[in-house]
Amino acid sequence: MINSIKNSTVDDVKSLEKNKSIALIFLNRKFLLLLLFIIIYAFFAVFAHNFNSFQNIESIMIFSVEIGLLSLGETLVITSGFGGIDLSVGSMLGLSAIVIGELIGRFGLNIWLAIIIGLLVGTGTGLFNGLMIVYAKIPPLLTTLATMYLYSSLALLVSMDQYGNAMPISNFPSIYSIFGQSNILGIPLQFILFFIPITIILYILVQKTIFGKHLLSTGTDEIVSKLSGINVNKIRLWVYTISGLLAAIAALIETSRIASARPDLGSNMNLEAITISVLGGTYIFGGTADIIAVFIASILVTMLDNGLFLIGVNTIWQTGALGFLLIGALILDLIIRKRSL
Amino acid sequence: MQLFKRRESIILFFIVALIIIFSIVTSGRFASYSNIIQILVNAVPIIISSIGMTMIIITAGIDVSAGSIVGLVGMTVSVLSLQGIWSPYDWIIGLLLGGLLGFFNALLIWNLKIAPIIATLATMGIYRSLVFTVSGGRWAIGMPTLLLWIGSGTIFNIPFSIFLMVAFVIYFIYFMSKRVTGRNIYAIGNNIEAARTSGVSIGKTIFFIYTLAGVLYAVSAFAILGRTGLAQSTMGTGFELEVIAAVVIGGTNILGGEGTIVGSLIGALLVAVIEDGIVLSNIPPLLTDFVLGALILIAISTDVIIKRREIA
Amino acid sequence: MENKILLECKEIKKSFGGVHALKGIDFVLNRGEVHALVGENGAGKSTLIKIFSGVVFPDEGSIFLKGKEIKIQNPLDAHRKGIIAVYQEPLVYPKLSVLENIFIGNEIKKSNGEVDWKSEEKRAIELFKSLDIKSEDFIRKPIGKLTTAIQQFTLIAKALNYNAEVIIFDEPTAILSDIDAQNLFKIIKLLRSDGKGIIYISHRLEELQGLADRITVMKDGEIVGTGNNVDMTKKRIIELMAGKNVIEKIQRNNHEEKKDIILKVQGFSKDRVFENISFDLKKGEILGFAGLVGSGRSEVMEAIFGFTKYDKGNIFLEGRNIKIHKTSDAIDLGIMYLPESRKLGLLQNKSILDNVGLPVFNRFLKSLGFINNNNLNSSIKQYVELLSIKAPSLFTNVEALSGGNQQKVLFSKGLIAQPRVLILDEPTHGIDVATKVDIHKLIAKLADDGISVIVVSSELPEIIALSDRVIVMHEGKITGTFEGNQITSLNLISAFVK
Repeated sequence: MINSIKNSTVDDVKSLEKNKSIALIFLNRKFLLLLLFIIIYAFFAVFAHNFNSFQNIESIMIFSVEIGLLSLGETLVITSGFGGIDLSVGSMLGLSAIVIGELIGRFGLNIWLAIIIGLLVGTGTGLFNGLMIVYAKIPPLLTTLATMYLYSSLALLVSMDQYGNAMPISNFPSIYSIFGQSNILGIPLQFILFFIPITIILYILVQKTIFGKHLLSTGTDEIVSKLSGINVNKIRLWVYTISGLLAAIAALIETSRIASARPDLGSNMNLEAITISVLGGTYIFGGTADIIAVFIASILVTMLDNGLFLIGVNTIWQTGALGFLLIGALILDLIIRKRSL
Repeated sequence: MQLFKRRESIILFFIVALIIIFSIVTSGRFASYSNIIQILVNAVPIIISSIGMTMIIITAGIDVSAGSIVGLVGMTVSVLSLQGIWSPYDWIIGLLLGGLLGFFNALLIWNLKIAPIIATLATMGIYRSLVFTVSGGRWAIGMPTLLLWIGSGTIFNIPFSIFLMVAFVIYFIYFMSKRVTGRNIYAIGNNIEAARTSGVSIGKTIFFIYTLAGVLYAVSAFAILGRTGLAQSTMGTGFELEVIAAVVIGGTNILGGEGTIVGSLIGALLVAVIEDGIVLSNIPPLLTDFVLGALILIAISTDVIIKRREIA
Repeated sequence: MENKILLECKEIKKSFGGVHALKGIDFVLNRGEVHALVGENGAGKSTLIKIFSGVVFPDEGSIFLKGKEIKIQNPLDAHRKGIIAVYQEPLVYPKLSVLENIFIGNEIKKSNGEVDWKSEEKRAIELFKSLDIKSEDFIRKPIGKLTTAIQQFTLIAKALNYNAEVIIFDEPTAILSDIDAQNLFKIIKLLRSDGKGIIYISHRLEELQGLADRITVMKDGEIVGTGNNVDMTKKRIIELMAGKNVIEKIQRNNHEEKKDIILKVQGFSKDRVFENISFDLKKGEILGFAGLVGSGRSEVMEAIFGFTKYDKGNIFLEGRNIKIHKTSDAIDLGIMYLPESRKLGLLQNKSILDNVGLPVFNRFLKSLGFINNNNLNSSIKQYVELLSIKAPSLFTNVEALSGGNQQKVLFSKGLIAQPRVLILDEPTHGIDVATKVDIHKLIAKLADDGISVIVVSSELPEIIALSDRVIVMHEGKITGTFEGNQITSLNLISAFVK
């Protein structure tokens, strides 16, 4: 009697596994996104003039880096759970950008020193978010809503001239342009020296290291994690700080690419970063992240923007297309999850 | 019912203190009748929209598509009126459109079970793109006076929009305390399972509040149109954040369950007073956002501290 | 004359995942009667109550209300049929007023559809008045800020507003002060004289003396005795609850006298949770912590483990005064706590590997924070084999496993941390009998190997089978310590029902 029950449960488990493995292929975000990638690519290659040119592909790579870095930071934050979200990534980018710009352009500081300070500022803003969330216990949505205002306003203040007007900085030394305007064997430097390595590092961090295991556990279930000896506060502090650092790196690349620092850089990237992250399979309630999928998603979205632009759809439809893509992905998720259960 | 809770009294005190300070700094200009009216007029769109947002946040939801709905409604009615459609028809179309957009949000949230922040994030993008489709990238300007009247007309020398705002606020204070739906909104935010077992129809309530919020954003759009006299594709950008800020400063719990229309009204007034005062005091207007951000943090962290004390 | 029987059920059966919670219950509640239901945790009282209040459906059997057979679809349906349960901590809508808590879903409306606050207030005051309570002061206050007693009274008022005829109290006095409890009894008597039927669950046998008309004792999903109050003396109830002792002690290989004290807890207190808890744990000993759910046992263990804070007290590990600020401190010192619910212990949608490794990733590191997967996996595999966990692979998600296997995964997670002190909270909760025995043998083996084990359990047979020594807690205090052949159901129950 007991034996037969046991056997049947084992069989159940097996058949469940089998169904799951089929579902898993479709559920796998990378697979879905690659499929989508090919479809969109093929579509634009046929219909958009010049889409399939080397130059255009290069520009897609260039444009994907900054938003991609923000999305990766956002992914870590959302994955940490408890309503984790960072609305301030764009503002952190703006503030870091203008700090670097001012230090180099107005005060003539050594560019490397200026870059280091800029990166520290970004990291500090992220850390501040984390401190407010972890120790003042303000929900992430509110904390980062407030700091979104704070940081973008600080950026304006930093850029203010003696008449109280925000001034952009454009007099960078030519060497500064290497981060955003040079390439290695035709591939943009920022893509090959920043985006790919950072993606790989974060992938390894999440998948292979103790930090990643603790992060995924923390986002999945706070209580289980605490009972397993994980310091969940420390994890959360780290992810917000990393998000700030990544925003600052994006700031470095963007200011170099456009050879100018403006305080409003990044102002409309806050929500786009969240969208790309969720499109990349980040579970909004935490605990699940696919760094590679987010990487693909940020290129996908950039490519979509680019393609739509080339076929003459106005750029404002970029956000709309993003919205549809997001809803579509979630509906697909819903259908697949229901089937596989 | 106690109209002003402790939180509201504190913010009210803040407002009074700020009015006094700004009045001294501007040697009285701030407290002048015309300036006070100006502050109120500026606050009207935020206040009207905050009513819907308050209800949404009480149910532990959020709506970041508010600004896009304002833009889409504002642009659509402007374009229609320029094509010669009589303004009252435009208003009706605008209200219906607002409601429809809110309804679509509810559809995503309730039927597809997408988290409110994500669902409205998606529609924020979609609606914003639609604004552009409607406008063709051009400004809409030169709309008939009648269309703009909601935001610019006066009665007894007092802007009509102020009357409208007061009427909405009074009705929805009544609504939240006296109508069953109002009570159900609180019940859902407090304990959604208990609400279900008490026979509260949750789906209906969710659809109602998001649709109503859409309609209220449409009214805000009319008020903004009247004030500015033109519609751009960027109309309403960032508006949702001002509204959310007003609501949370006014004491509505972002985790749901508690909050009042009066609180949001006062929160919105505080935002408006600060924005106006900064301009009049010759403080660089760049500081406005800084103050707004700091205010949210201060308001919420005092809340958290007070709550911790009460528990201890 | 009206039918005297108000609520009746016949042959009610219910099982959860192969575990029989109710094995055929016949129960009768009369009008104007307080019918007390007693029994250990896990005896099936809660399940029965949940069936009456529509939270759970019976597998078999029928329910009759006033002689008519009924099906209770859901809690709302139960309310409408006049059956309402009042729970220990009735925080329903914490931020809303007492008034709103009473009337949500059942508003008094004016003809124009608006909520009639005035009439509601009047009605609520009347309802409270019929309970002999003056409610004007608190009726408009958020219920979350009022005392537990008032919260309970509010639910009673709500029940009356639904014209409830059957009111179920689930351990209402466990967290009430004496004065509040006296008030509650007065109210219950009022309700009785009003013709209501009351089912009253309590572990305080003394309070039943003056209150209950009839007392039913449940054990292991069955009714083992029902009788009028006068016939059911405290002694008789305890005997019925204890039943025949059919449990055999688990054999231990380690017979030598255990002397070395490994863990010493002194004057451990936390306001309103537990008070002045002191005990020793010896090397290789199994120390049972008996008592009812809510007696503070788990809370003491959570505090020792650093999961929650405590107010005062000292912990000594091998004579050294240790400070534990967070759970990782405890784990590093060799103290491991496995929580009572597998839901609290395991990440359901993660693999066995990820779950078992969670507390010890830091012990399987290469440089730079990389996890040494080879060592970790082989170590985990060792424990999975030791505990004979049945799973397709180590990558299988925990949620796909049976309850018993999940429990074993949880055990592996505890053991891999190589604890000196292993604290197990309800280690066999909701597990079939065969696996239970397996796990008991395993616990004994661990102790034989020199690990000191604390077993918190609400199941007496388990405590008796396993423990070398038993501490009984009741309402946050230690009320008895038993050793050797003093460890009997009768002794233990006497210590924890008061």
